[in-house]
Formats: sequence, structure tokens, C-alpha cells
Amino acid sequence: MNKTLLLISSLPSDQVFAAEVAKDCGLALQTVSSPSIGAEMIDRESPALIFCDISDEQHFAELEREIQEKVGLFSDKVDPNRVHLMSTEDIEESSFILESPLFGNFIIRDIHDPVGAAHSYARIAKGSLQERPVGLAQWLRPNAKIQTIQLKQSNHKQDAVEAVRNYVLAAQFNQRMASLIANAVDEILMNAIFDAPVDELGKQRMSSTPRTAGFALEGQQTVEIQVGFDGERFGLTAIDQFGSVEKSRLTKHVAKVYREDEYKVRSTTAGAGIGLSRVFRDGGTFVYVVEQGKRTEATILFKRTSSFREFKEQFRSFSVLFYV
Amino acid sequence: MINVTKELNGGTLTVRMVGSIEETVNFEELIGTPPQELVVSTKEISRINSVGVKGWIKYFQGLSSRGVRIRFIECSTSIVEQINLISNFTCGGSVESIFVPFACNNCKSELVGLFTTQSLKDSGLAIPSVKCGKCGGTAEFDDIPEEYLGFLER
Repeated sequence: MNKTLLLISSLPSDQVFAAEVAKDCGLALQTVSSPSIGAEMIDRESPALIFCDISDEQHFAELEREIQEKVGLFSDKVDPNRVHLMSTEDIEESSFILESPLFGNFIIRDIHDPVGAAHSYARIAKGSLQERPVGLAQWLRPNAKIQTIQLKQSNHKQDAVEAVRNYVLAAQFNQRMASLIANAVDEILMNAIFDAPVDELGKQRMSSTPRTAGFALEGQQTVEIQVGFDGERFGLTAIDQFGSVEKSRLTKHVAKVYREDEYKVRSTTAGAGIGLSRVFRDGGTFVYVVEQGKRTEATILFKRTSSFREFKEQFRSFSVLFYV
Repeated sequence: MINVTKELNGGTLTVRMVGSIEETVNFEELIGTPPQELVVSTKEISRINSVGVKGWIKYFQGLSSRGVRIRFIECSTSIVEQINLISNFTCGGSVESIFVPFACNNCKSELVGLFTTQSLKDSGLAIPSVKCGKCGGTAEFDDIPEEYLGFLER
């Protein structure tokens, strides 16, 4: 693998962003604006990271076509974990990427502060370069204090959520930020406890189990939480031992919005099906690391800001890193 | 977990909710079947999770289909966020007043101010600055206007 970051974009702010990420990752930046030349470079040089502007659906379709023709969309040279797609619009406006074999990381540009966003995102980019990124520590600054907690009972979830809420308040996040973070934690813990367990055929075992059910979280159903704050960002990782997340299902859940469509209550499932969409829209960085059939780590990262408005407008990204 | 206080006045039941709405909350048990009109104050609801949203919509949709008139008053910031995120969150009920978040420019305190939705519409969704109750400084609206007040433009 080459020591380069290939940027396929003609936007100046993408060049600023990618240059900073490349610097932080110890890579040389190569920039092209044409999907055709980008595909040739992927074939010829196997760049370590690929960053692409996907603002335009036609442009993205052209990139997919060129990569398919010149390299093959499923080639080892195009690892979706190392492909980072950049847009100015939210993920629901970029739904054409969801089924793409190129989808691994989605970035919403921070046009006001591309340099700050790049330094924060460089940790995700570095993680995507690893063979198996493990644990919360890698997503935070090196000085972060990480606490690890084992959840012993499913109905201890609310206590854990309240404890995290108090933790972020102590870290000087304001009340509304703390509530929003508590909600995000609630959702990813609920997923780890109730949605992750599957049977041998991959069928969810607890889809109709009431979310109030109390049971021991032991053996494969163990759920571990890692919590940390590095002075700038709060992070929480929920770890289950199933690795059962399906990429297309996950991305569809995250991309679904109900601002215009009606939310329909389904009584056949105990979950609501709207949690992950809320987590991503509440701001911050959302990372899934899935070791298929073995383990899933779901991480949320939120930057502490001086106002709630800044908190809502913070740089956002969504990554789904899959390992077989 | 929430606490609910209820007050019946003629054909109108007023409920005030305090706490967080999640999977343990059973609205049917806590509120039951109101008469013709239900007034809901969520002033002290700090958060609502996805299963709480599901329970909320199921309950209020049921009331709405039975012809109960629903009025939401004193909606907390967390409830306003849901109203904006989910198009049918109010289940046909009317939103009469909401808490609007402010942050003091001076002491950085978080404040909320109660506004009727009518007054917000009348002002063209312009939110004035307010005086901070703690330090007397100027506090300004602290959210993204098009997101926080988006439901008023639907």
C-alpha cells in the first residue's frame, strides 16, 4: 500500500481538509478532480486512503463506473473502510451512497473550520488504516482517561445512562448537551443489549422482547462500556460480542428521517427503529467497528462547545468499518 | 421514569409530566383515558428515548383517533426537538406554547423562556434577546433557528 492520501475533488475546502488529515496520518496528499484519473491512480498506486467529493450524484456514479472499469469495485485496492466520502448535505440527501460498495465513511463538510474538523477526523482516518481498530482510546486524544464498565443486567441501562449524564455534566457540558448525549448513550446501549444478540442463522433473538425486560448480561451477551473525556471531546463505546450488524440495515436506519414521512408504530417489534437516526442527527462523530460474527464496537464522540448552537453545528461524520 | 400530576376541570384533563420518558413509561397507566380534552405540559421533561417516542405516539394517536382534543403546552426543549424530528409526534394535537433556550453572553448560564407559538408566528419567528436572571447580562437564543422553530413553518 502506498503512503498517499488520494483526494478526488475540485473543492478548495476539501483540499485544505484532506491536506491536514494527510499530515496527521503521515501520508502524502495527491489531488485529482477527475473520477477517471482518480480510478487510474487507485489502480496504479493503491493509495492508503481515498477521499472523494460526493456532492453530486452524477459525479459519484461516474466515479463508481470508472473504478469498476479500471480496478473493480470489490478489488482489494478499494477497501471501503479506507474510503471517505465527503458531502455538504446530510446523509439522507446522499442516499445514493448507502448501497454502494464504496461506502465506509461519510463526512459532512465543516466549511467554516476545515482545519479543526480535519484534526478531529484524522483520528478516524488513522483508525481506518489499522488492521483492527479496537477501543475508545484511539478516537480520543492520548491524554484521555478511559473508564471501562461491565453492564451486569439489562435493566441497569438507565442507571448507566444517568451516570454518563452526570459524567458529562461534571466535564462542563451544559444541561441540554448532557441530555442529548444521554439519549445517544441510551440508544447505543439498547442496541447492544437487545439488537445485537442473534441466533446461529443471524436472526435477532430479542426483536420482540420488551425493552423493560430484566436479564443477566453474561457470556456472549456481555456488554462493555468504555467512557472517556480528553478535555475537548467526550466519547463512549458500547461493545457487544456478536458482531451481528448488517451494514446496509445500519446505514438505512441512520439515514432515515421522519421530518416529512410519518413514523409508523410497529407492534411486531419491541424497539422503535428510530434510535440510530437520532444519534447521528444529534451531532458528533458516530463510528461502528464490526468484526463480523465476533464483536461490535459502537462509538459516539461529542465535542464540548461553549454554546448549544455550536454543539449542534459541530463537525459530523459516520463510519462503518467492517472486518471479516 | 416520569411523575405525572393530573387535574380534572370539567371536560378537560390537564397533566404535568416531570422526568425522562423511556421504556418504563406507560402512558395508558399514568394518564388513562381523558374526557373530551387533554392538556399536556412537558415543562420538566428532560429527555425522551426512541422507545419513549414510540410509546408516546402510540398513546396520543389512540386518543386522537377517539376524538380527544389534545393541546400541548409548555413544551420543554427536548419535546420541541422531537416535534421537529418526527412529523407526526403531536398526533394531530395543537402546540400552544414552547420553551425557547437562551444562553447568557456574560455568565454563560442556560436559560429558557416560555413563548406561545402564536406570538412566535406573529413576530415572524424572530426571538428577542432576554435579560439573564442570574447576572443581568443579555441572553440570546441558543439553537439553530430553522431547526428549533422549523415545526412552525410546516
